[in-house]
Amino acid sequence: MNRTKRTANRRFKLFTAATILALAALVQAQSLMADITAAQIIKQANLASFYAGEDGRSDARMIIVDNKDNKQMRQFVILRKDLEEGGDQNFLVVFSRPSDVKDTVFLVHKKVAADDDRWLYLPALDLEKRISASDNRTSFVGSDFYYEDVSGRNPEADSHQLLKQDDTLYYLKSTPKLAGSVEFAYYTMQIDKRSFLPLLIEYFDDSDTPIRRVEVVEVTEVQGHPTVLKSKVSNLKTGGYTLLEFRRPAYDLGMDDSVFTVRALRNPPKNWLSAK
Amino acid sequence: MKTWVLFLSLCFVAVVAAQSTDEQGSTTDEWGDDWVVDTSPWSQSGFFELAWGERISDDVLFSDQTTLGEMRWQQNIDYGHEKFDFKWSHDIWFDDVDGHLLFDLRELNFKFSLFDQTDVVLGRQITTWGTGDLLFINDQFPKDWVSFFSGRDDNYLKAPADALRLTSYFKAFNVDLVITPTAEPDRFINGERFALFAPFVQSNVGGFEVVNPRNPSQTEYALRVFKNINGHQFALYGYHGIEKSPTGVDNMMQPYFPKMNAWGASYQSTLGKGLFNIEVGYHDALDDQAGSNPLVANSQWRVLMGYERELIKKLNWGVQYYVEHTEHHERLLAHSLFPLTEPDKNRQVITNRFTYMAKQDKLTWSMFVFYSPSDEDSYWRPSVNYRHNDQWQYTVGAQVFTGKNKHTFFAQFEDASNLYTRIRFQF
Repeated sequence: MNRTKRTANRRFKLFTAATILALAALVQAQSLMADITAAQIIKQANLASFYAGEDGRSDARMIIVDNKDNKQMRQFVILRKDLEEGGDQNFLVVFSRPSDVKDTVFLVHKKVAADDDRWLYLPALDLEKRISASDNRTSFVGSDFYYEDVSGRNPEADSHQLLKQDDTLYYLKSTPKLAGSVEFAYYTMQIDKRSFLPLLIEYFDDSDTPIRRVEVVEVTEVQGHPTVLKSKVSNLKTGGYTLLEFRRPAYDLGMDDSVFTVRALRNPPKNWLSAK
Repeated sequence: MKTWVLFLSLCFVAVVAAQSTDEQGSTTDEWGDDWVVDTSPWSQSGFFELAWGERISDDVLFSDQTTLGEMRWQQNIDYGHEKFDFKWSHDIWFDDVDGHLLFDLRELNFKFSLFDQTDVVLGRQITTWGTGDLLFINDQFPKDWVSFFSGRDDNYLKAPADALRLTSYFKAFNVDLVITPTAEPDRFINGERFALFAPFVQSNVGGFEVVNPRNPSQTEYALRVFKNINGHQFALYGYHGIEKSPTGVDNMMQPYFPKMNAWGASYQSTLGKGLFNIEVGYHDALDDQAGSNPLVANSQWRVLMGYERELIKKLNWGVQYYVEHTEHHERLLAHSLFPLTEPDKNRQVITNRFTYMAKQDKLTWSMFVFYSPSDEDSYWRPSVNYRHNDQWQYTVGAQVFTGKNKHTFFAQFEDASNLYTRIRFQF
């Protein structure tokens, strides 16, 4: 009897202790959530947007629409491998359409701390062309997307401010550290709390007028990674826009480093292009 | 002739019509459900092009001042298999300057890999290597100077050859070997479309096939050993074959392609915000190593240095300095029949390229200038290209040669200066 009582007593104590611990953890977690800094959100968003898995591939298609409703199309496969989580990466982009860019290959060794190494292969001339690092805020293959939209903007380039948050979204404002180095004065982001994907990015000029908008249209989960399937970028100054759609995305395929060497320019790796 | 023009016109109309029907059927949904999933191993592409070019001022050696007049059809057919790729590419065009229907097989080759580390291309193919921009030291693969001077698309500068190419990738370095069983010379300026300076008469000759050399029968071997170390690209080159233009005259007084070896090296890397490259080569004139035969070009050292970068958003600039140093130059002059019109001991060329892209890369302004301070001549290549959409492209441009003397490399083509325009429909 006595023994039972003691056991019960002990159990009660254990239970209480556990509860207190759990509560403490919860409170701490909540305060952590509240205290999450803009820098942490940006870091997570950068990883979610550009570093899902160790490597990845996807079919991609762009529809470029100008203000007169003229349409152009770009179809390509994009391969990526991370050398360091959140750090340097390699990209290989192999175009299939339209016919003047068919079999054109673009290889990028992206470096966070230095300028990228870039190569372009033009099949009609068998020309392997080293290309100089260009302004990253210029059109990617004639679309409204910039190079930076495709391969990521260095989080260190801007100072970030968490404006507010609600149940589902973080609202941030980011201002370039080097004013005048880019075409915008600042940009705002709405980042999904669960996936950390930026669902809406708007760029503003000095007079607080939005000049450019990048929006996510469709997201799905692929191998546990929330993945953007459709996005749209609008040039609010010209009225033109570009739709970017991904198909058959896959991660952690075990791509070898050799996929991202100059050999791939003339002989792109078939097994990763066809997504089997 | 007229039948062929009619036939090509009909093909053109048929393809354009088919393409427009395609477009109409695919614009129902903004995102389109017309994403073509490539299930067939076959794919095709090509274009039709109309091109016209005229001399800026008359060349009295030619009765017709048209330098480019053609209706062209290019067709590419690819077959992709797990183990190999097959590629076919041809051009058929009615050439108004030539007055004939012409055919050019640009590619007919199989590409496959061996032992995991070697890529093989077997058949008719186009090959390019080296670091120069429109200047070639170690690239001894055939070039089409007639197309280049007449304002055809830049892609036509490279001509095809029947060859075997083996490229092996190793940990330590990579090796590229191209064997061309029967040497394929350049499509050089021979007087038919553009006149050239003839030392024997000390003036320009043209309006007919002035240079009709003996066909070469040698085998060409071209080797490149290359390595990329963190963006620093090193290469060594070797070549055994022929001078690609008929720079020799034999005992029968017939022009021919003298035997030649070439050795060289190159380096390319980023420098500041741009790219730097240096390339050097030694052209060993096997038929005249002493440099005393006035009928065969002497050995030469060739060096080039280049730098390119983006100046402002979408404006790219490239500059190159290039020297051709002729060996035994004194001996050349001593034995020459025409010492006054022999090339300079150190022929120097400076090139500048400006490319500006506007309207979301649809509009490309380009200017490429060769200027030789030693020859005091120059060659200007301005052009504007407008890519209206994925189907239609328009180009206008010019080739302008100027010079102080009649005999120097660019100056001899002064009367070949021309304006051209091209309209292309691609599918």
